[in-house]
Amino acid sequence: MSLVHWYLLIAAALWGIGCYGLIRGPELLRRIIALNLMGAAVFLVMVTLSARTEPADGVLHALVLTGLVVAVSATAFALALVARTLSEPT
Amino acid sequence: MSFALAAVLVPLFAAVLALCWRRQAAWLVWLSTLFSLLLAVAALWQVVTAGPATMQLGGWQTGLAIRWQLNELSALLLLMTALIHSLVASYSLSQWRDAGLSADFWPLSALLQAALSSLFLSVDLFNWYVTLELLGLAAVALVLLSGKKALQAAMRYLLLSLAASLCYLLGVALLYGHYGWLDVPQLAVAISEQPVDHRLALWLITAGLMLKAALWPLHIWLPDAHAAAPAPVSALLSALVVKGPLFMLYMIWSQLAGPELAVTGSWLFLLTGSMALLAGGWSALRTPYAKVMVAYSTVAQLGYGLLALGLILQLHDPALTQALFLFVLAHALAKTSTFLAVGGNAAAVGW
Amino acid sequence: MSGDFWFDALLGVLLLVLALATILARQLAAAVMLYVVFGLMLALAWARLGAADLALAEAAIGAGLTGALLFSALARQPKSITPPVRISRMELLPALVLCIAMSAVLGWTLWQLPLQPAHSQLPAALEQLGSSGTEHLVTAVLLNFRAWDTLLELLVLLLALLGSRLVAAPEPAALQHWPLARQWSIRLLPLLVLVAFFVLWRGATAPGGAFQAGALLAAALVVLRLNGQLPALRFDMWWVRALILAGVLAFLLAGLLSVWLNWQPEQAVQWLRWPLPLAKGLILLIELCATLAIGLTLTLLVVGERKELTA
Repeated sequence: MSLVHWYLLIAAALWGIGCYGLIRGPELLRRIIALNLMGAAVFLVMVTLSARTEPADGVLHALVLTGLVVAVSATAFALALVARTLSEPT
Repeated sequence: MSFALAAVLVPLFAAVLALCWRRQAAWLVWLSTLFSLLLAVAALWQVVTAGPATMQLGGWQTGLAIRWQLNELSALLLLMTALIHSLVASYSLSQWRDAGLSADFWPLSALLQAALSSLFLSVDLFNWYVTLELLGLAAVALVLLSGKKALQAAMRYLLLSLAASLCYLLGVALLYGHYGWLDVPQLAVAISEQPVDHRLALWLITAGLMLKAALWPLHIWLPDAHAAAPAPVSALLSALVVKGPLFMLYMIWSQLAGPELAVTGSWLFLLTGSMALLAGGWSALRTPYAKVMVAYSTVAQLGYGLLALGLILQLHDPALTQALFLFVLAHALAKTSTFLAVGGNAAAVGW
Repeated sequence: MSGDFWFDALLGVLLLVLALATILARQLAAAVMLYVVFGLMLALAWARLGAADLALAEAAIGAGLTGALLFSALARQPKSITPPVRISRMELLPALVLCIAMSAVLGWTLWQLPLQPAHSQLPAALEQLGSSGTEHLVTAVLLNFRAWDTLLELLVLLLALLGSRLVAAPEPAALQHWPLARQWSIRLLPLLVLVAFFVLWRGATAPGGAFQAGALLAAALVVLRLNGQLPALRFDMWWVRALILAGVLAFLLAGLLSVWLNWQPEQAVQWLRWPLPLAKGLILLIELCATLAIGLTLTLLVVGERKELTA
């Protein structure tokens, strides 16, 4: 088994773990962490795919970098929303 | 192409300027929607007279650059975006005190317009991902304009929308892993030359987009979110935001699915489309709230879109494509006026 | 070779264990901490896979900033809801089966991906690198080949800030400033700023760039702000707003400049096409503005716009 295959399998398992966390929760904060785990799985797939060529595929690296910033922005927004949701008496 | 580019850039500049000078935000954005409406008409006229055009952003070759395609379809959708935005902006400008809109509406709606216009012009899978995220975050922020009562709906909308984007991105990563292209027409060529099993990638993309477009059975977030938002925002969400992913679904299935997969997909779309019509219509009948009813009607109406998509994949009749996008246009106009009318009524009655 | 093998095997398993523990940890605080460790391990894996830029970015943005955001969200959680919610095992069984099936299908599909990609954008990108105005491939893709993506991504960041402002959460309890922390942050500041600009400058030739630099700058500002050594930053202040919009604005104006410089009557309009003699300067200018914008936006996202934190 090659390095690429190994990390691709890890990414597949990570995706499942993230999905399970998203469904299971139970806290909103944990669901957001689970979403970040799913994102990590997708980015790991992309990074591993980039390592198939020598040198590594810099185009994919740039896409992952864009994805990372998008993910952190979305996380920040979601966390602000969670903080507000929890502080409202329901 | 220059008019189309300007039609994207005008709302973008308007959004930045509206954030700088917040007192003039309303006028700025209203003027920008009217101006971009003119530009979109010019772009459509250009397509009709001079034929379709493409633009490689940055001037690099296909594959390296993000590509924009201006043809009859994208020009029409660009025009629809600008038209709905100018209608909603005119309504909001005259009614914003009654509608309970804060000044934050203006830059957000301008960003929404820029994101949608870019989505309709682009034919790049990864660029679509970024515009989808932009669209999703702008939509959630707009829903939040109604304050406390929208918190729960907005939270659910945001979480599902993020999960949907990740599904889409995973599908795109798989496609890139197989073929090394992000440009949709080039990818279509590569797939027809060397077909491999890319079912999972396509299903992941489809699941993500169906969730984003609130297509049955992934529509559960839509009624709450659309009903909780202020009336002009509901109009934008129902008329435009769900149409972006629907357009992508059409582009991806009509170009990237091989003949066999297209038939499988068409049955899925025909089935879910009919279910959406029945379930959405039933829920709309049962609800006592006007806005929730209109929101459920969006769920039902999108079923027609799915039916048309399924038939396109089965019959390959160009007339059906025209039918799909004329329906999209008609639904956008109808939903805008319905939500604005409901908003006007609510303001007049005082609840 | 065998040492490498064990390293990857161990790292992979560790990633999975950390992810599972994050999901299953009883306390949220533990979950957050485990997630940060997971992020750092992921950065290590990416470094192993030859993605130095991304390892740097993941450590700074993915683990560092997301961690900071999660911790500050944790601090805002009201105490009353801390008792863990009981979840029944039976209800979750279908979800568990679904997720395992999904992992299996995904793993099977990924396993069948060709080890040698049929086609890649890499050769084309390497060929054009010389005319992109930068020597580092990732920077060339981000700021030249696919600059439109990057512009939209800056807008996503801006939108996150606008959205978070709409739901401004209540103030967390005031902090006691630890004298040692205050001393540390003052001494760390020049170092962090220096490293940030070094990372930015280096991005032209080697791993590094605006986003990593922006994250470092944000780290410096957040530490200062949390120690009460920086006055409150508010979006209402004109200079804060100007700096936050600087990234997008520089990009847009550079784009307009490119339209003007490439303008030829009777020819199609060119958007975001940097003329070669100006490319290096334009890219550096955009990156500088973007770094400041990213740094300040991320700072506001982490610490919010609260007043002085002094007890």
